[in-house]
Amino acid sequence: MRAPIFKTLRRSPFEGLLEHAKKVKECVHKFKEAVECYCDGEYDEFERLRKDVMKLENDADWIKGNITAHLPRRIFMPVDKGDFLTCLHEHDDILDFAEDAVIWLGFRKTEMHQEIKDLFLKHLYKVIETVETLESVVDNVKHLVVSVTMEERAKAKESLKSIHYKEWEADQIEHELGRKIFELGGDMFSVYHLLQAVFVIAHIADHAENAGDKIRAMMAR
Amino acid sequence: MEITTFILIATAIVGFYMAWNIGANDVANSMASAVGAKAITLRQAVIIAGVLTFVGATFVGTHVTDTVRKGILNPYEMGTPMVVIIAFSSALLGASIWIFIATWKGLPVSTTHSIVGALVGTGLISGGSSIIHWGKIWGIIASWVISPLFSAILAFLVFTVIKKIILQKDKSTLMAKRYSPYFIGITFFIIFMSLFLKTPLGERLQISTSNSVLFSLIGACLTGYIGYSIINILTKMGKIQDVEQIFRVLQVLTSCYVAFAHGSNDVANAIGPLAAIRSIAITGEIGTKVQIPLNLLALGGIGIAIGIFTWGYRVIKTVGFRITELTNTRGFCVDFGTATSVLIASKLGLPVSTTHAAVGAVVGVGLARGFDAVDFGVVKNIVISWLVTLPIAAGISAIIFKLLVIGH
Repeated sequence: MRAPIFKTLRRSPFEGLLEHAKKVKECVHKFKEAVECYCDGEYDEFERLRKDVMKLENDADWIKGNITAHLPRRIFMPVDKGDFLTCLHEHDDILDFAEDAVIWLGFRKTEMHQEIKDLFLKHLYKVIETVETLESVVDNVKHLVVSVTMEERAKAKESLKSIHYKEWEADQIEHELGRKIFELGGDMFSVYHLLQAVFVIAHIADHAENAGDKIRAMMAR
Repeated sequence: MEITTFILIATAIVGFYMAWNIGANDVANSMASAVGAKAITLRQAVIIAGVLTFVGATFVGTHVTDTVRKGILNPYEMGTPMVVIIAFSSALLGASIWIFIATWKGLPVSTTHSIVGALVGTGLISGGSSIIHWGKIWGIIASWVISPLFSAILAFLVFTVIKKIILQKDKSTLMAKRYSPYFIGITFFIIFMSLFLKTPLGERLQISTSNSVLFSLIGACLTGYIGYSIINILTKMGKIQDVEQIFRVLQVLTSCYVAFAHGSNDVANAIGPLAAIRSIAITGEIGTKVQIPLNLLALGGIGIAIGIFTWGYRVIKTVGFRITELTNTRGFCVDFGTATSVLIASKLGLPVSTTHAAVGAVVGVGLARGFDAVDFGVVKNIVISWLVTLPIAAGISAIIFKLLVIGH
């Protein structure tokens, strides 16, 4: 067969990104359930979900590798390839930190005071909210960079802006939670374990924010 | 059997193989997008491509045939009529062998370039460098670069316009309905212009250039209005809900347009040398002006059509269903850019490659941010194929010519 037009058009890297984003959604959902179980002291269920999170992170890593491997220099994209790849990596970092968080929590069974537990979950939900907002924009990313109308563009920009706000809100809860952990005290191991877990979970929102910024950059080109 | 009759039959078979190959491989580059974007079914694509390449080959093909046959070399200085017959047969056979190898290896070569290279090769070996019209060769080589470039610019512009006035508007479906009659009109304007200017049809009707423009404009307005009515009817029937569906209608049109342009341009590759051999075999001399009979063009057209029916449909299917990126709007731009650049080249008598023009159009839409990933590596491979096709086709044909002359 001699059909060069066939070789000129390559598989859309955006489809890869969407596939990756699907794994991110699945993984973040499992991560949320896992942390909820940990907070409730259901350690066996937590252990099962921790394995699920690690498997999904691994699957997503494979998808990411596949996208990068199929994007040599000669491939031309409608967006800056650097922005696209950074967006993908930031996306991947969300999962890396979700995985790190469940691994870290799994090192020790630390019981939480009710007040800490409430704040811990509040923080978790806010972080998850940043990722969910990001994913709602990512679902439409292919359309956003080419045929976006002014109305859709404004809507997407609004969503991306709200990630910043949600990340800021998550930061505020994180600070409050940090203060509360020290305030209520307890053994040194528990304090350190919980504090470190909060810091790792907070990184998830940071990377969701960074990924959103890169989508904004892709839209601006 | 007389030797000339034998050569004539043998050349007709090889010419037919070339035509078959064009239908089997090259038509997919233009028809696959319409099938992939579900604008037409595979069966419809095969029928449209078959009928329209045949019509294009038979009624618009003559000018390109003329250039390939006589324009690039001077057959009077090649030697006796018998030597010319052997030279042209060798060229056709040499080009066919190279096309066979390239198809087997999946190389993005052009049948047009192969036949030009082959003719140059046999010309050089039979009459030396002086019989080649190098000025024309450079012109043809320049057109190989210019036609994909022109096709790319055209596709880029059309997609950019579609993006700005339709896709990025809040009421994009409404905008598509409003502007699509203009696209239909422009497409038909170019089709009519091609038909009227310098085709047997235009000559027969004795229409002047200014009248051609006038009639084409009237035709364009009429078809634009018909298109407008069809889109309105389809909308009322509830069959049109988004932009892509409107462009689906347009893409059917441009697919026909590509098939037509393809036939008109590429038929020369198969029957150019054959036409020359036939006239020498019949008259016994190298005439000053050789009439290209319609039945020979038709033979080329039939060859291409059979190529589509027997093998081309598989290639269209494979390519079409694996290129999911070519949606109707993109497909329309690619088809429009390809066909327009090929038809203009064809009218100017320049033998350009439809395949390369199609790749040019894909790159053009890609640069207009219409595709998610365009592999520029193919462009590099095409440039390499430009560089190797001429010497290889020339070399193979020259060797065949030498062997045949010794045998003779």
